[in-house]
Amino acid sequence: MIHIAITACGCVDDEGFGSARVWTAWPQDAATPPRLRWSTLSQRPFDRFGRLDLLCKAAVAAAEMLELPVPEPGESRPDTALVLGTDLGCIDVDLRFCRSMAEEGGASPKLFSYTLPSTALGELAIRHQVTGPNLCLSAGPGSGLLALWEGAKLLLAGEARCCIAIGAEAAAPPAVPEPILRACAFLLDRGPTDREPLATLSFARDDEALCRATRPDRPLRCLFRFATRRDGIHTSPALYLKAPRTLVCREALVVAR
Amino acid sequence: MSSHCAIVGMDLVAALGDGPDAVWARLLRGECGIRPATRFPHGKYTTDVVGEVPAALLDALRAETGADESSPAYAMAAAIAGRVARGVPGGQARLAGAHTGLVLATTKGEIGQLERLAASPGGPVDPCHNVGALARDVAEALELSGPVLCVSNACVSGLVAIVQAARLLHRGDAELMLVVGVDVLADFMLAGFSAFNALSPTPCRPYDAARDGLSLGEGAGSLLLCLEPRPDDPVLGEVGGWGITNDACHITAPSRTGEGLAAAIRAALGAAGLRADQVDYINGHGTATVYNDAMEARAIHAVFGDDMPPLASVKGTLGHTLGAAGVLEAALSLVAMRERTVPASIGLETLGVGVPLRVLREPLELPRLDHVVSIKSGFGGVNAALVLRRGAGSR
Repeated sequence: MIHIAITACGCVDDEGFGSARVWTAWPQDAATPPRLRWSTLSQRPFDRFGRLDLLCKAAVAAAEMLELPVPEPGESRPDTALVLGTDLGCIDVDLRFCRSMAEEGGASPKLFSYTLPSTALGELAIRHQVTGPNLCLSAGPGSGLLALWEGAKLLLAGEARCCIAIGAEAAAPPAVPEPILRACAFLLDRGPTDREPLATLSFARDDEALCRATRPDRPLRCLFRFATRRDGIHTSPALYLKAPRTLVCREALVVAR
Repeated sequence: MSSHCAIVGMDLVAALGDGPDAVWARLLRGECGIRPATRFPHGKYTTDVVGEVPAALLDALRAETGADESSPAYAMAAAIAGRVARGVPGGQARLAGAHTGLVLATTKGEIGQLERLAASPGGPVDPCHNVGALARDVAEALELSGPVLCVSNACVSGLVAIVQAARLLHRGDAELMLVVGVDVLADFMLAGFSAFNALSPTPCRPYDAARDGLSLGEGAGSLLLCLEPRPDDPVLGEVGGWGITNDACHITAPSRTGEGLAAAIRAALGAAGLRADQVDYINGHGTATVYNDAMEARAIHAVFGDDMPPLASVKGTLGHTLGAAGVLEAALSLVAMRERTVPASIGLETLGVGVPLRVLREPLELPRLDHVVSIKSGFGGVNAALVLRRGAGSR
């Protein structure tokens, strides 16, 4: 049995934002989903946030909830991998860029920079000085869960020691019929770590892992809701992850697609 | 972890035509596929030249796959992947019968569909250009039952897709893995790169002192990977190892030092168990932007030193095919190993990247061409390097 520890979680969605340590609900009079402002999310400076597209904002905000130490100048994290799973990708900024093409002054170079879902990985790499492997994938509504799975597998394969795995969906009309804001970030660790595990992924076989939460935790629950929202299943602190997009809950087998 | 796996099928389509052998022959003759655009208005963007797949060929691919006018990416991807599936011993039935998966690499998929929806006023649009949906459509057309996903990692998407397919094989998640890289030219890319002033007004000139930007291209490439080829499988080459890194310094510009790419190359060589002096050919990224080529040159020089293997970029003849580039150029690298010939880097007149490089102006036949390193870099600071080994099925 091989174990991968989930040592930190972060989540931003239409109900609130937070980590394993603290959860903040949006004010009752906030729009749904609320407009993300950095000053609301974090005390730590991050000048670039205002220029990011919705997907990058959601991913960066969720990762900020992991409360990683800010790297010192010249410090980097070559042993850390970044994995992002997203179904809708950057459709919001894609549409805005398309419309800017017809505007006076022409296409916006600022928007064009964000018309790749992997730009979110670039923003995260800069923010946290992560210089290890990157993977940006899309595999339908289970993409967030798949990011967690692939992140764990990178660690098992020895390609990295830590992984920031993120599932993110963020878009606003008219790119989508209803506004969407859901992002979960997980810090995965293989081997000894000072951080107390929030949950453990235990691999008995290559294609199946048992995920046990050490304690019920809101961001962890959010992931499973995130991964299975369209299936409407209940959440549970103990579930199986089964490759590639399957959750096995205590009572039921659900394919997250 | 072992990174070795066999490549038993390949195909491609690009501006120079249909199929690896046809494209290779024209590449060796020094032909350039970057020409005045036929599908885009002249004078609208900062260049009028692109590496288009010829219209008649695109029509043939649509007919081959039943794709409509609005689905050129599907037409290219499904056609090329279908040919690979039918070409392997046992044919498509073998892939359908085995646990075969698909990793599709693209930056923008069917972005033309979103362009048309964006131009129509009114309500919400359907996210029909979703890149994951393109992967699923291709997999369904080929009746694949294994894992299906899309990798969208900017210009390294193709190499990362090959890596991801190899990972899935090594984990036992599939018996066979198809890799498809595809991107089609659209106003979206032309407008975006024009806004960046990143396009050359003439066919691009990788590594040249007078390089002034990239040329956009389009195309698709496909590879079929497995761990245990059948005795009758043609082993065209092998994946030997890989490295993927991030510069973590800028969203759209490469690092000035090349350290990130150098680290990716070293990781790939290490995983393949190779020394730098065992590499016979570097399939460079060579986009012909001032900063990419200078960064790449520093990285190559840092790893290989003055006694480096020959280097070539095919961007000067096919254009930059974005998410397809890694797969398409890996397929051409397999042909290079089979033919023991390094192609010329079309467009190069005077080397000018700040450090000495061994870039070829003419094709070079070698007595031995057993190992290729393919390198790519992309927006978001990502770098990838892949080691390809000569296959037992190569002459």
